[in-house]
Amino acid sequence: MTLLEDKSLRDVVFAKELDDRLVIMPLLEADEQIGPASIDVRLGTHFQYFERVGNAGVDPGSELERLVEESQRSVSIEFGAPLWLHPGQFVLGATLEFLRLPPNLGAYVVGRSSWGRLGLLVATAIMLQPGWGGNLTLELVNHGESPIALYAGSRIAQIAVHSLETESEQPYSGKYMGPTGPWASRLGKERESIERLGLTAKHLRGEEK
Amino acid sequence: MASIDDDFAFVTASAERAIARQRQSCEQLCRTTTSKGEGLASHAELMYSAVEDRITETRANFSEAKDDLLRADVVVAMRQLLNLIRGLQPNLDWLAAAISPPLDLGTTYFVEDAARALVAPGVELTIVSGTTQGSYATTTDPWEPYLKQLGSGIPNDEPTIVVVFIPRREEKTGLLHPLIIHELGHAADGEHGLVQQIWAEASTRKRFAKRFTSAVEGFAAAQDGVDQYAARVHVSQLLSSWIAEALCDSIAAHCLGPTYLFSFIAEVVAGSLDEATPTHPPPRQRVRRLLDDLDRLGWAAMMSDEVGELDNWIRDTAEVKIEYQEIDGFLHWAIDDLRAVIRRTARSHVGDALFAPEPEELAEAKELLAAGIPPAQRMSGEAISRASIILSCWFGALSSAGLGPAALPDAVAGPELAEILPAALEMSALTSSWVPTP
Repeated sequence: MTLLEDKSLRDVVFAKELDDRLVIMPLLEADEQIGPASIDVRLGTHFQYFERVGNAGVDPGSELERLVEESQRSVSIEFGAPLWLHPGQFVLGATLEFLRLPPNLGAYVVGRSSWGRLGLLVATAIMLQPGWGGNLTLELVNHGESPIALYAGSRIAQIAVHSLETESEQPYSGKYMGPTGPWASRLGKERESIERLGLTAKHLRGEEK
Repeated sequence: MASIDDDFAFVTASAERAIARQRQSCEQLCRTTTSKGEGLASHAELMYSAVEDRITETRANFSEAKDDLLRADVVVAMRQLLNLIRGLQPNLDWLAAAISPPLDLGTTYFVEDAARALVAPGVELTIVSGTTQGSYATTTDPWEPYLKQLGSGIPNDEPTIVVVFIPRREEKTGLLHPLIIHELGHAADGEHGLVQQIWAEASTRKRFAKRFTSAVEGFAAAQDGVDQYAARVHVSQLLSSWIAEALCDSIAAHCLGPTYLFSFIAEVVAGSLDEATPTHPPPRQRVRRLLDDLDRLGWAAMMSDEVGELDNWIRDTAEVKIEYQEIDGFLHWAIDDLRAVIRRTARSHVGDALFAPEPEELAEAKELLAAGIPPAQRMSGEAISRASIILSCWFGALSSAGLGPAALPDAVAGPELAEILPAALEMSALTSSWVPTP
């Protein structure tokens, strides 16, 4: 597993065959965005936030999917316009770019230090699986003391790409495949596994055989 | 017994309250940081001022009226003014739509670019998605006639306002939004007098002039009490409406290629194929004219290759000839007879916005789309044109839907493009407008 440096990044970004390509759509400024060992990605124009008023909260063991859908509000801003993120506030954003990894590459998304020094956290689930494609959902949290203006189109994060020793036999095809904007949690799709935890607990207590 | 003075005071107070509420509502809507809807708000302000001036004027007229008969006339005038004020209500809905556009960003960028190219660089386009709106329609500078009625007008430095109405049910139907380009054709005609240009050329043709005169005489003879002048005005209005529709179809075909044909058939043809109305030629004739335009623009081979079965059905359907009688017969003939003039006028007006077949660009777009990637940028770094994006989506959706006639509505209904098409349009707009780092 090797972290790709700039020349290798260019090779995979501009690979002739689509199947071999690390797709970054659109790549507005290759020279500016491809760094020594990472590629900058930009903040998109679509956001989702949790509407507190009138919503009890989310519980993965209940009807999470419906609850999340009902409690999330969407907002779009124009390119170049600001979205103000207040201290402690959490919104889901997405990269401007649609990314797709070939089966022989994985990646990590990390914040840019310029934003981090203002207290901005951009992602918690940072691993991008081989084969995954979509506008990457960003979990934006302002951990700083001052409101921050996030401009749609600004370089908000970077991805570090690494090669795999061999191609993945089963590239990603899961529940987060193909978003073109921020997608809310789909933990509800794992409700069965949470219910199984309850069954296991009953077995432990000897209530079920 | 109620006095006429009380009547006047009551109606005047109602009118003053109504215009004040209109103004307040407008100001509340405009209390945002966005610049969207500035033109509409400015036109509304002109309307409100003109109405307030007219209220003051009418109040003076009442004071100066010498007897109850004249005073009663002034009360009627004030009532009419009140009704006019109540008729301004749509402006608020349109303003709300301008501030919070109902369409996604990608489609909004696309239609705004088209409006600037076809209507005027400074045009302000507002898309209104209405529950009462059954089909696509448009209006340009909607308050100008009212302002003229009030003895005012729109200053020359004000932007042209175009309001396009779409059915609310189709807000998310990206494959039908190309119909908006036809609507922008109407706005372009209003701004540039395109139908008048066609009339001017048609009038020089002896055969056309002869058939027109004959149609006028036939109409006058068939309608008791209609003189030649009134008949001429009526037939001219009908033909102008039909020419406008044919012209806007041709403009859309020049801007979008087969995409517009597919959108038109999917939305219009199932409901009516041979019905001629006072404002629209029969859809079958419109399809025939569109195919003619597309073939001349070089699209025939690609349509046959990509959607052969559907292409054959469309051509077979268009070829069926229906005989129309009397005035409809003349109008039908005239639209066919003037096809070259209409096409030339459309081509000339579209200019650089012409969409010609670009197989390589389309192939790249199709490859990306097939992989589930929004087709926005070519390998060279250039933006894929918005017209190519929508066409690739149409071809992809039709292929998935089976390529028969039912593929058209099925393609429109398909959910798979609901996110990818707007995303691709947005990304393409950003790529083509991008200002690079110095």
